[in-house]
Amino acid sequence: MRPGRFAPLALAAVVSACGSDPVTADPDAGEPDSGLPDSGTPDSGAAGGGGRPAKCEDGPGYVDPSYPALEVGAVTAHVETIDGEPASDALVEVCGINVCTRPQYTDENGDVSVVVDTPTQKPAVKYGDAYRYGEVALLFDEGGTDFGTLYVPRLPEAGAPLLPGLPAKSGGVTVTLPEGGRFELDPFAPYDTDEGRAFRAGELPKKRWPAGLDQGAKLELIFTLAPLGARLCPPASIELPNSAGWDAGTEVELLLQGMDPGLDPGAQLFAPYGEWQPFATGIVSDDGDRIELSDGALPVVTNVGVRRR
Amino acid sequence: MKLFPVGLAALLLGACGTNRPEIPKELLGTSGASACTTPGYPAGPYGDDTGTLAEDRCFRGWRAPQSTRHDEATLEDISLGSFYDPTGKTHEIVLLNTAAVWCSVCKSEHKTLPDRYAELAPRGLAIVSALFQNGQGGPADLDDLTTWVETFDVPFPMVLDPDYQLNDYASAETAPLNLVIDARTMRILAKFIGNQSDPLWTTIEDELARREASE
Repeated sequence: MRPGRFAPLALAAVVSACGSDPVTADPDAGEPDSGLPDSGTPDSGAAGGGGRPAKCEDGPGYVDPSYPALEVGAVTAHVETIDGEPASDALVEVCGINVCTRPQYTDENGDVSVVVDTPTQKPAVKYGDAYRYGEVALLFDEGGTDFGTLYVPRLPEAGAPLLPGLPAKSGGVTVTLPEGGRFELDPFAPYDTDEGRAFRAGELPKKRWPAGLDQGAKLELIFTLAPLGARLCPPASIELPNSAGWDAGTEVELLLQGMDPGLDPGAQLFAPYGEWQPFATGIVSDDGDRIELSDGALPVVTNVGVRRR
Repeated sequence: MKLFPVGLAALLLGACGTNRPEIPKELLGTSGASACTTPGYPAGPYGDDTGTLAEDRCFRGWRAPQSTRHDEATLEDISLGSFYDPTGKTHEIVLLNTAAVWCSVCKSEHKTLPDRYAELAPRGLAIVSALFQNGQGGPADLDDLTTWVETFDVPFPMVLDPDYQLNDYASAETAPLNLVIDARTMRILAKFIGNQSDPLWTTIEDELARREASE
């Protein structure tokens, strides 16, 4: 007889912002609209009534297996912080939607080389570790595999805990989980401690963007966020610094970067790998200091881009 | 350097590298390779590609991670040979999978493997997955295995392979690897470097259906 008993579908480890106890949802707290366009991507969780914690829901994602497999070879880069200092010991890896190559780390001069010996679909170089540095995914183009100098923001040493109903502020960015909300995050290092799971953010100034980073999305601001990949359930509000100096009342659109590869159903859940997908609209505050949400909410901690509407 | 597309078939080709990571000796003990002799396992010659016989390999891990306490005392010897089933009584197909903590494609794949297993194990699919490196590219250890099986609630056998015994099939620089093996003969039916979800599962389902039709 063949095995007949199986456990239900595994879920990513749930890391409650309040420890291991279930967080009770407040049915009156309201659920921000995920703000996602009608593109097949699901809403990202709803505050459950009846005392149940908010649930992170999955969906079809943006899987597209039609990308050709590319021979990549040796990838080289020099990584610096946005201040122009060599970013030493920064993680650099090449992942496509079908395969990853073992990460390498920059040397004391910020130099790194990764040899990719397996045909890779939709390859991207990902640099930074989303902990000490912001992490950025840059899809390959016809320009070759010497990426020259790449810049990453250094993230604040101390993070802000993501707690339901309380603003988590870092690097000028504020994320607030709704009352009764929680986040889900795979507990691998560096996200295996409370300190590692804390919220961190840093802006990548436009003058430091590599060509092609915004994939034609006409972004004007990019913020790198951590802990990368944390599902926010229900989606969280976000405020960003108006570092572009736009006038009060300026309407903007917020986009998130797809950082997760994969070809299985439900992979690339919020955006195609390496690309940017709208998730909310916003407006510059009356005092001109901040960009506040006007519709939608952030379903996952990842890089956020902004463009004027 | 110019990028150029290659055919999907090229993904079936094995990586040729032998770039095994340097492993501290104290970490090599978990594999128990010297004890790897499964009685009755098919004799060689063995190979590393489609059509050849897969050599027996021995690991330490948990055969039923969902119902096992996760500590060193509960680690079991698990050999590839333990899935050898000449009559197909329990297993028709073995999927030998690799994963590394640094590999986000592997994590994506393991979010769906339990569902695939639940669907296809009753039809004769066995899955065994080998975790070989940690998030920094060093040898995987017990803590990594524990975190992995608990994060993905792994229902099938999951083992450690810190000295990467599967280097013959794919470079340690690359993950995942999916090797489809005929459990009746231990012959390799297909090899996929990377997660080629569509052709991988089409191969397995077609092979299971073919065997069911011939019963």
